[in-house]
Amino acid sequence: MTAATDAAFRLARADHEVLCYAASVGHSVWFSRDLGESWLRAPTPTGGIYNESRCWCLATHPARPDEVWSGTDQGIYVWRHSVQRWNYLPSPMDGLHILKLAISPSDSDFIVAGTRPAEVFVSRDGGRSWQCGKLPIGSECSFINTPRITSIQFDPKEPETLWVLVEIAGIFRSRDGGQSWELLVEGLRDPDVHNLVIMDDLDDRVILCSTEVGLHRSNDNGASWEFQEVPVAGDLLYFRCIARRADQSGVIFMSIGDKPSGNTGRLLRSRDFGVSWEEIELPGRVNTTIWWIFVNPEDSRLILCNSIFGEIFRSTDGGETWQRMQRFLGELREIAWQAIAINAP
Amino acid sequence: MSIAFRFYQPHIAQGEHEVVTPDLMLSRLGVALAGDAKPVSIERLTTAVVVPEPAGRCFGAPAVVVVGSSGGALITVGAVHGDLRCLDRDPELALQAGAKVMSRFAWRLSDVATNADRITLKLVEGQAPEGTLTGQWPLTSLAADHPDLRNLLAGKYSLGKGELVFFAADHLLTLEPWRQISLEHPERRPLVHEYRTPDPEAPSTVGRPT
Repeated sequence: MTAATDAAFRLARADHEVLCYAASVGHSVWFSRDLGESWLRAPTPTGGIYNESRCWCLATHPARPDEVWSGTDQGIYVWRHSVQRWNYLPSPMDGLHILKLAISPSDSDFIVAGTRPAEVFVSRDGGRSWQCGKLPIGSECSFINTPRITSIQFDPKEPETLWVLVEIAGIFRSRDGGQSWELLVEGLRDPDVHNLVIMDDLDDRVILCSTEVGLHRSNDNGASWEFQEVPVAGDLLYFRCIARRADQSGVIFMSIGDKPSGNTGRLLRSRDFGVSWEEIELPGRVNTTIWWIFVNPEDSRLILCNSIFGEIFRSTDGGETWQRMQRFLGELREIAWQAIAINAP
Repeated sequence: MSIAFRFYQPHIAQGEHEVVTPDLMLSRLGVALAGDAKPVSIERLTTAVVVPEPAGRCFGAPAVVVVGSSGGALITVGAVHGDLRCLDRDPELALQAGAKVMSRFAWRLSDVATNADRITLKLVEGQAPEGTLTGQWPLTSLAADHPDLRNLLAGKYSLGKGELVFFAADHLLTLEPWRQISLEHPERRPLVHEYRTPDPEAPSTVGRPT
């Protein structure tokens, strides 16, 4: 990995710089030290991920500054900056598609993985051991044959509460760290669910959920859901990723498209906690649905998103303006960035 | 790290032209030679087409396999291998060894259960591709020997998600190097699994200079 070439953007923490990651299906994980302008993969002999592996997800945590986690088609791998290599992490998930990894904001040893077939695995010791969450879910589903996890989120107020979304089954919540689950689908028009935003800023908690058929809102902590019209979406019905800017504002971003691997996509923005939405003018035409939007409380100004067909967009002003990166990286599932000490390897 | 499972990716014909292939996580394997199914490590499960088993130390029996699935239980064919040396003395121990072989083609049990009397388990052994028919069992006769299978066919009993049970026929496989086990129904494409057991006495150069 080379040093950053140019970046007008600087983190508020002057002794830190940005390292970006992109998880690809077919090209392992890409790294960028110049805010996404150029990308490289780790050298091949790094002990872990093979170059053509399918890497579905990424996870970082401020308390694990040396690490980047990735869920792959061969198990969990952890990149350590200090040794500049991917290390295989033994787990019961070898052979599964590890589609999502989430590390608790309040406890960096509390890690949850979501797989295809849909199952949740919970570690309380930083990944040394795992327990199967035993989601009360069918082994088959319509359309995609095999259910899969699309989102794992830790509740912002209750550290033991997990929110897990399953395509195609619905929204599951566990209030005991993944030992028992309840299914929350009352009012959902379709259990093909993709992502959540949980907001506790207003008088009552508001949760937004993106689904195969549009946006849903819950004002009663997930007990029931209401379909929410988003007029600006027009004829695009496929609502994929939803992410709140990592500050106290009510700014939320949401991606929509014609279908998962379709022909076009758009990025929407709300400035009022998801009540109303406007289209963001991205440079050029988006080649398909934007799959992932990454926000980071390390600096709310720097936001990255990617289409599933490898386009990358970047904002350095909190999502007001966006740049398209020149480099296409093939099929991408997640993108992320991490603040690392400038003198780190 | 006590969680073990096997991925099972069956091809299931539905209707005229549709085939679905869910990925099922199987974690609990039972084998019924006679009477109740006994638990066996899921690590023994394979869909391989080459199954090394030491001749003379191993027994095998054709089997009907039922798999629990939320989309509806599946039925397919397979074979139970075990350790011949302790089969008489300790059948449960004998079952812990040896592969439990199954096909990656399956039917929905609900699609065929009402026609169980038209389904036949067949065994062909010998040299590929011909072999000799060495056994056949109407599914109803197997069900007569296995009450749990009978109850599964009648819908009186169901398997949980991730569970599967081999119901073995009362017939030991020969030591022939190739066999074909099939489940046949007059109105459906048969379910077939062929596999070989390589000669364990064949000279090996593994680990030796050639």
